Amino acid sequence: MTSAIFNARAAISPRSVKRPRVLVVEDEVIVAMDFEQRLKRLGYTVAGVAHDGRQAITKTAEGNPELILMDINLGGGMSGIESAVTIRQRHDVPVIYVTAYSDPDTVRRAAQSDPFGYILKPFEDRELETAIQVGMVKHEMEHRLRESEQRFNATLTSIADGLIATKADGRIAFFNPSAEKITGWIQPDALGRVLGEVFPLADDGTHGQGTDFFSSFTLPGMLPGSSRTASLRRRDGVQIPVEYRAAHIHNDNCQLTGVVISFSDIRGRREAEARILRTQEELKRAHDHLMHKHEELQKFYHTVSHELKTPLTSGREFVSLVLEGLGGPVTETQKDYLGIARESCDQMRTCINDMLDVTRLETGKMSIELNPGCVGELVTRVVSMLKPAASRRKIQLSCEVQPDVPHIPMDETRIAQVLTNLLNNALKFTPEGGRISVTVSCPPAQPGEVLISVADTGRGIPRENLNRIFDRLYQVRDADAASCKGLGLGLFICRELVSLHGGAIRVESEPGKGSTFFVTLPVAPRRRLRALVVDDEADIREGLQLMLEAENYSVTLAADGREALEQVRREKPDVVITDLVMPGRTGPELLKGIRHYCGSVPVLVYTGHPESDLLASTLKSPPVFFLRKPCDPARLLRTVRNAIKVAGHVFAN
Amino acid sequence: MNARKILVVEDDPQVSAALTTRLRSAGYDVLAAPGPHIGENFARLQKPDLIITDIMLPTMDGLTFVRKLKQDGLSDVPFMVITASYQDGLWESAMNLGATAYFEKPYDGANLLLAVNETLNPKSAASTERTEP
Repeated sequence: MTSAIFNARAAISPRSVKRPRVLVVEDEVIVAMDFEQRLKRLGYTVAGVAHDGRQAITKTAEGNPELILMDINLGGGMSGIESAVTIRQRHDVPVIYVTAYSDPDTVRRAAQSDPFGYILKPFEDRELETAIQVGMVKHEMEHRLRESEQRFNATLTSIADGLIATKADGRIAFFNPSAEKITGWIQPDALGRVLGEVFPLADDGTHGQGTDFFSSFTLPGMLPGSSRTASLRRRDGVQIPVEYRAAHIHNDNCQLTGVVISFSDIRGRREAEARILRTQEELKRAHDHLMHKHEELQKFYHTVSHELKTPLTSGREFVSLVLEGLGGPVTETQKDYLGIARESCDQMRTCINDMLDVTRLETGKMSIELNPGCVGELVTRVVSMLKPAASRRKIQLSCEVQPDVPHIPMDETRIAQVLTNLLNNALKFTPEGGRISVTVSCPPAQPGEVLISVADTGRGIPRENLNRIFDRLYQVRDADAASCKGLGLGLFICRELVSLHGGAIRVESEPGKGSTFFVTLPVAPRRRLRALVVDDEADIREGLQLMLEAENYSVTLAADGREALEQVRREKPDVVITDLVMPGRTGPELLKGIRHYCGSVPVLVYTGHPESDLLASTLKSPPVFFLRKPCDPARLLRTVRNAIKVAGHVFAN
Repeated sequence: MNARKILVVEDDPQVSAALTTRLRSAGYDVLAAPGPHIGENFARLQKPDLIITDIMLPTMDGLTFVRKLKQDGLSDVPFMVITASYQDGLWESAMNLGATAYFEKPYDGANLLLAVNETLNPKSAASTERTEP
């Protein structure tokens, strides 16, 4: 409203004054001529003059006037009002009545025909000018409003959502084609009816209470723009699920003048949702079923392996007994044959264990226990175990270990398994007279890692197979792979075991020349071991400190029992090396205190005076180790290491 | 000196036979029990010097069997385990119970015999250590 007034003022301002072409309808010729002259004087163009109502209609059609000045009382059987009504029906031209009569009846009749102005004769030029300009603005505004309404209507009619608008009394005032489609009502039947009759919603279990769109100023439980779902009973009685939004319409005085509801049929969506739900349930059932089967299969694997291993045990053992001559004299040929039989038993054992390892790896049930160990020693041991097999096949098997390789956390059994596997593969694919070399080193380029390499002079691996050989069940398929056997699990197991150690395995190979497998294992950040040295003699304390620090221990010192106990509490050492007879507190008392504050930390009693009663009472607080003074550094360090290892205290804390 | 007595508790007759043959040929006296009940009787009446037990046995598992014997006052008899089972924690359980050796089937007879000898003659093993000054 405010903006409309503003627009009207703007339109009347001199700058925007528009001078329309005017049709004058006046049955008195003199008066008509006077109008014409006045209009021309004011700068208007006269589109024509009509002398009766019918002529006015014709001239409007022919002359395209932009405004009509219409006398009400016309001769010729048709009043100005009748003529104006007809013109307004056919043309979009504003009509201003000009009349000498202002009796209430005439005014009422004229008002009903929706005129754009009303001038009483006689009038001044200024009055005429004002009436014309106001009429023009009014017409323009009406035109704009109509266009906007048409646009709005077209939009609401064409949208896919159903739309219903009501008046304040709840009766339907607007009903679009989509609403027809969804509700089954047609617009002529729906208009004027109460909303609840045409649009009856029932709770579908999501919105709790009946829907009264007028019950309160804001719709119950509904945020502006938020949607809800409900069940709509269509005109044919069928219930369908709908999603709807509702908004109140307020006038400028904040009075509720109606409600607009937009809604859509969500049967399709509901069906899709139900389908997804069904699919999900089916998938879950299938998954559960598979998991169940998988567990059954796991159990089956274990049973099978148990049942295979038992006869294999007696088979292998009796072969061994005969081979060893415990069943009577054996010829060399028989020994050879029995040796092969026993090797076959061992291969079968490997197969069964591989199968079990894979099932455990795949179910994440493989657990490894990491303890600090020497890779070099382990590799040397494994290599020496396979030397006989290599020399039988006239393959030169060598092993080279870099001397300063640090201890790393590893599961020795599992790393040995990896190495055995790699070496057995190398033996399998290397021809007689070939070479297999194993190295253990700390490559400068890979700090913090220990590298084990196993290189052979076998026939190599074709490039296209290089990245597949660690896959589960991958088997070399070659025309000349006569020696190929096994389940194709070995390298998969190797990769998984190495990765459980936080390491990696890779291969380089040149067909015809050989392959090299590289295993890298991380050297875990080794925490410095803490040692507490307790002795009342400063020389001994410092001697021990030097010795231990040279071996990378962090050392704290205490001169008597009291101090020692405090250090134990504060430093939480990995090992305590203590004298037995000291001021402040005797050894056994100290030990009791240590057990109280520091649990099972190993205590090494380093004493020159073996007093049997004291020694005996220390034994009540294990783990305790004894070392007699004096003792050479190597032995002392060995004992300290051993004490820590036996007590299993390294990875505690 | 009398031959040392070894109680073998193993339900598979072939494996039991293999063990018996191996141990007897090494000069041991073998009491072969097919299950824990007979094993228990042997243990009480014959006072074996060593028990070698399987784990998967008909009425109770080998470790339970050993635990029972220990509760019944036979705690000082050393025992060894041979098993075809491949379960996590089995080795740890056996070791915590005090097993002197643990063999997975198929075991190597010669190694088993070595372990038996070491268990039954700890002095010979310890004496080598004591030669060190």
